Parts: sequence; C-alpha cells; structure tokens
Amino acid sequence: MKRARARRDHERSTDPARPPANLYPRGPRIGAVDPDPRGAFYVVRPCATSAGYEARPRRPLGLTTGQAAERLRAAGVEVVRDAGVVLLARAGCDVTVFPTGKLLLKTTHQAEAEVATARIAAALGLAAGDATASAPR
Amino acid sequence: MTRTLHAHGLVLLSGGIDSPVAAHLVQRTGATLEAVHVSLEPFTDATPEQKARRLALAVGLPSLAVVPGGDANEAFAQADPRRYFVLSKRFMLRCAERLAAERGASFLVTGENLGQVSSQTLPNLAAIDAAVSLPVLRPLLAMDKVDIMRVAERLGTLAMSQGPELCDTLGPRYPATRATAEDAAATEGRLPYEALLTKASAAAPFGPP
Repeated sequence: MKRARARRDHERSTDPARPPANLYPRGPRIGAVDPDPRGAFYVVRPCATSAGYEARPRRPLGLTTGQAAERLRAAGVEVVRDAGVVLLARAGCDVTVFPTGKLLLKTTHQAEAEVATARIAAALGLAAGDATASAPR
Repeated sequence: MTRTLHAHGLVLLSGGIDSPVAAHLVQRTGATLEAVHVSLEPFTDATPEQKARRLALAVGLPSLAVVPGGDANEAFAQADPRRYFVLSKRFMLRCAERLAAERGASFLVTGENLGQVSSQTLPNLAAIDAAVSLPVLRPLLAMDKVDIMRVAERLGTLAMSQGPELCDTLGPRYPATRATAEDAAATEGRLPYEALLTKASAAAPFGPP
C-alpha cells in the first residue's frame, strides 16, 4: 500500500504534463517579501533583475480572462486587452492578470504594486484589505 | 587561422545574454550584421527593446529594426499554447527573412543554445528552421552557459543583459519539446498568418540603435 502510494507520488512528481500539487503553497515562498498569512494575495519580487512585481493569490481563482475582465470593468478598472490567456489592465500601473489570479505588476515601486493589487483584488471579489506586501528584505 | 565570411546577415537580438554574444562571434568572422528585435509589447514593457538598443550599440551593430510582434504572439498563445515558443520563433525568423530580402542579407543569426530552456530542443529547432529558406547560424548552439556569460562579460554586455526586464507572459508553463514543422504549419494555417506577417514586417524600418 505504502509502496504503491510512493510510486504514484513519484510518477506525479515527474510527469511534466502535471502541475505540481504544491503550486500555491500557503506558507511563504522563497523570494516572498514578508507575506501576510491573512492576505488573499502576497506580493513578491520574482527575481533580482525583474522590472516588476508579482502578486500571487493564495489559492488559484480559476477565472477565465473574460470573467475577470467583466469584474474589473464593473469595478471601474480599465481593461486594455483580453488576450484569452492573459488580461492586460491598468490600475495605476499596467497589470497582467492570469486566469489563476496571478498578477504581474509593471512597476518597480512596491507601494504602487500594493495599491494596484488591492484594487484588482477588490474588483475580483476579494477584500481590498487582503492584498498585502511589505518592504523587501 | 584567418576566418573570413564576406557576407551580410541579420541577427535576432533580444535583451538577453546570448544574442549579443552570437552577434559578436559571427562579426568576428568578418561578416557584417544588422539587428532585428521582435517586441512583445504590450505583453512585456519597453525594457527588452531598450536593452536591445543598448546591446546593439555595445557590439557595434550599425542598425536595428524593431518588429511589433505582440498581435501575432497573442494569436499563437490562443491557438496553440504548448507550441507557443516554436510558433513565435518561426514568426520571428520569417519576419527577419523578409527584412533580409530588403537589406541584401544572406543569412540569419540567433543566440539559441541547445537545451538551455525547454523549448530549445533539437526537434523544436528543426521545426523552427523549416520556416525559412535562409541559413540560420547558431554560434552558441553547443556552448556552456558559463562560457557564454564569460564572453558577454568580456564584451561588456553581461550587465546590460542582466538588467531589469519583464519576461514573456504568454508562454506556457509546460512548452512542447517535440514540436514538428507539420504541426506548427497546421496551427499557422488556421490563423490569418500572412496578414500578421505583413503587418509586423512592414512596421519595422531599420534605423540606428
């Protein structure tokens, strides 16, 4: 029984077509900047040379870009383009919205990234106050 | 040994580490090059283009054309997400081939490196090559990344390439690694490909970087 489970887990972990089960971990990720465990999103700097910030939802939202666009427009957020696989919006800075809810914020100012994340989070039906980030370590 | 390649070519120049090194290695043979940068705005920001301009100057490329590739890449991401990178590269080469005809260039140069990323596999490179009739030179194909970085450092392009940039947001998490030219062509056949190609190539005049 144990062996069968171990084999299944190994096959899952090595199947390139299968996303890792721990894609959206609850805890802090490497590179996360002081993630607030209460937040729906946490804002990270993806890598040292990134020209932007990322905001990741703690759980994937599973929205289509069309649904996300509708919600954003209803909340007064400008939707620049719905490319089907991603959505381009403007909320203070340019934001790429992925169907999982991941946001790519095209700004190098963390405060601006936080404000935009809060605005998008609220528009997507999450409490605005849930979007959190703090100064990089 | 003297190596002389008396020919003119176009190099596909991104904002990354590899393509400026590829350009340098080919220029060293005596060939002359001009640069083509395919911009993925609005899906990225303007930094890749700005970096490509700086890199072109750094390696002594006299002119650069910026091809607006956002619309085409959006169409590829929607039509066939797993083959997105192959379709995108085929498109870049085709744009470059059109521009090559205008510039009297007889070959293309890319900074592709075998196995460096999951989309740069031998089958994928074969599928990419099949899109154009001009020879595609890949001087970095079998080099180690550390060696490429060493050359980039010597050239003074490493720091420029490592500067801030937003990555391609349209690429899939799990790209196809065994694409075929037939599959890629089938996807392209479902798209207004010629219109995308003409629009992008026509909007890319050469000018000083």
